[in-house]
Amino acid sequence: MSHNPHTSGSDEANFAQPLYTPIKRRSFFMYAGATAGATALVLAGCKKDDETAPVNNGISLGAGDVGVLNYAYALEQLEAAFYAQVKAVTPVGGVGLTQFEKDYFNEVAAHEAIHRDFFKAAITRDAGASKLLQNLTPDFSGIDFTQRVTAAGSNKLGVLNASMAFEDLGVAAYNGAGKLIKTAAYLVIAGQIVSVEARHAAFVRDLIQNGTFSDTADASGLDQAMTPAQVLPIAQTFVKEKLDGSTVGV
Amino acid sequence: MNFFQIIDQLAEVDADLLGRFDSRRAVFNALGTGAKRTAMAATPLFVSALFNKAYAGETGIKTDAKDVLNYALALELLEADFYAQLIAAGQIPAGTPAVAAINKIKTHEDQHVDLLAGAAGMGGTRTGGAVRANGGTPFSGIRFNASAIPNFGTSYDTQLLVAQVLEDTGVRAYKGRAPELLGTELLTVALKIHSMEARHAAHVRYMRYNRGVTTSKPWITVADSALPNPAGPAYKNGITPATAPTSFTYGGVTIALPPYAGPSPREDNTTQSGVDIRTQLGATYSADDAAASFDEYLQAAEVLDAMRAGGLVM
Repeated sequence: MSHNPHTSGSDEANFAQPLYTPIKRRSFFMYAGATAGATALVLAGCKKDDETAPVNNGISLGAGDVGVLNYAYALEQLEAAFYAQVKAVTPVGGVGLTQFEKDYFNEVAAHEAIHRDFFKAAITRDAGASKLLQNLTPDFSGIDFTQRVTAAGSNKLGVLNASMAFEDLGVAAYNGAGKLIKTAAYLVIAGQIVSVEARHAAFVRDLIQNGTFSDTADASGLDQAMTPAQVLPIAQTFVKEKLDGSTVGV
Repeated sequence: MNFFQIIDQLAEVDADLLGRFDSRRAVFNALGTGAKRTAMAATPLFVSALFNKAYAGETGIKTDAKDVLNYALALELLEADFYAQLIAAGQIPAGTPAVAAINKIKTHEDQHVDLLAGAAGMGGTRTGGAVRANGGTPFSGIRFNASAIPNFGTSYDTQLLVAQVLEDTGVRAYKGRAPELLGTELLTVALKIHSMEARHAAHVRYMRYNRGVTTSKPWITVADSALPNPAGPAYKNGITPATAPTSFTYGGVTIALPPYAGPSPREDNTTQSGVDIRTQLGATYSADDAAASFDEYLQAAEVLDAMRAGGLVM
């Protein structure tokens, strides 16, 4: 899969997928706004081609627990890069963030940078530098860092909308990856991080519309969980390198 | 939900799976008869219970899942009754977003109770639910002891502070027992509840900010560990091993608790997995950022201590 826009493939993505995938994907539309969601859908549609013609599977995240840690590291790299950009670029006032929001986003930027740096340190220590996922190159061409929220008619996400998409995706990714972890200590660390991501997600949702903090809940009051195979096609739209998560947790 | 289709899909990636069940027919028979089959098969935790049994002992730590689930139920019952009493006290400012927010959170806690203890049918009797599906007897009737909190009935700000403490404690409690569900589908369900509780906690903290508590952040800062009673203890360790309970009993139902392994980290902790987050990551981070970027776990013996949620159970 690449970043080249594809004009077809959305229909074929809807069959031959597990029953629940279209629902998750629709949820993501809700999170990210229709335009970016449509991009994700089109790109997700490429997945089938990749499976039938595995010429280049991309950079492997690795297997077993190291794979799960690199998977988390990839997502944290993405989030950290996003908030670093918000910190550096997004204006205060006008169509930008309020001072209150900017201050809080600076804190979130620190949290995500810590998560990224922590995984880098932990993977290097526990598995060796050779197993560590490389630095990824983010592709934020679909985000307008000058806009607080997605501007009317724009095909680029506003900062709050992109933040919500990243945070909700992160929560669902950690929730889905939990059962793949084989070492209790790693599960605890992942649990310590995911609840902070959920706090971020709830907060940014409230900034967009107060009271929507928990609107990812299903009819049983449960948050979302997504598998690496569901998460990576979406995350991939924000990364220049192609990632292969097929052995994560295996 | 097509129950068998899910099994078939799983079996595709794990050819051994069907062999792990006695047989598909036995699984289906175990669901009971008639309409009950459909209702129970549609319950995620029941499905999880089957898989949990199928994989038990292979990847999971040997623990009775039913006790972990019943422990979670005890906390959910406490939270659900707490919100019922908060609403009944009539202190939520009318016409503000707080009304809908508190009701939304209350609904989730009720749904969590239903998931774990089974939904109440006609006459109020609960049947099914995850605890029973895993061989346990669910707790019932656990109530929030409002009299333990001065001014609870009259002070909305006090109510919100207690809500924050209960939510943050719930988040810590789920974390503390997640390893006992390692590698199981039940873990996924527990994690989905866990992150929902964290969303509640963040919102309650934001509500407190909007009430003028400008130090209240959606995440847990260093200062929270220095809060006075009754909030402060939720963010610290602090019980002594001599008082650590080995079981919890309510209404004739007893669950065993894991052995107390010494104080869990405080919420102002800045060291994770032996790494000092402030100084050992190649960049320098503040103590607040280091503490807030990781939530901490609590062991059951600590959660049920009188200094924390245990002191609020009636």
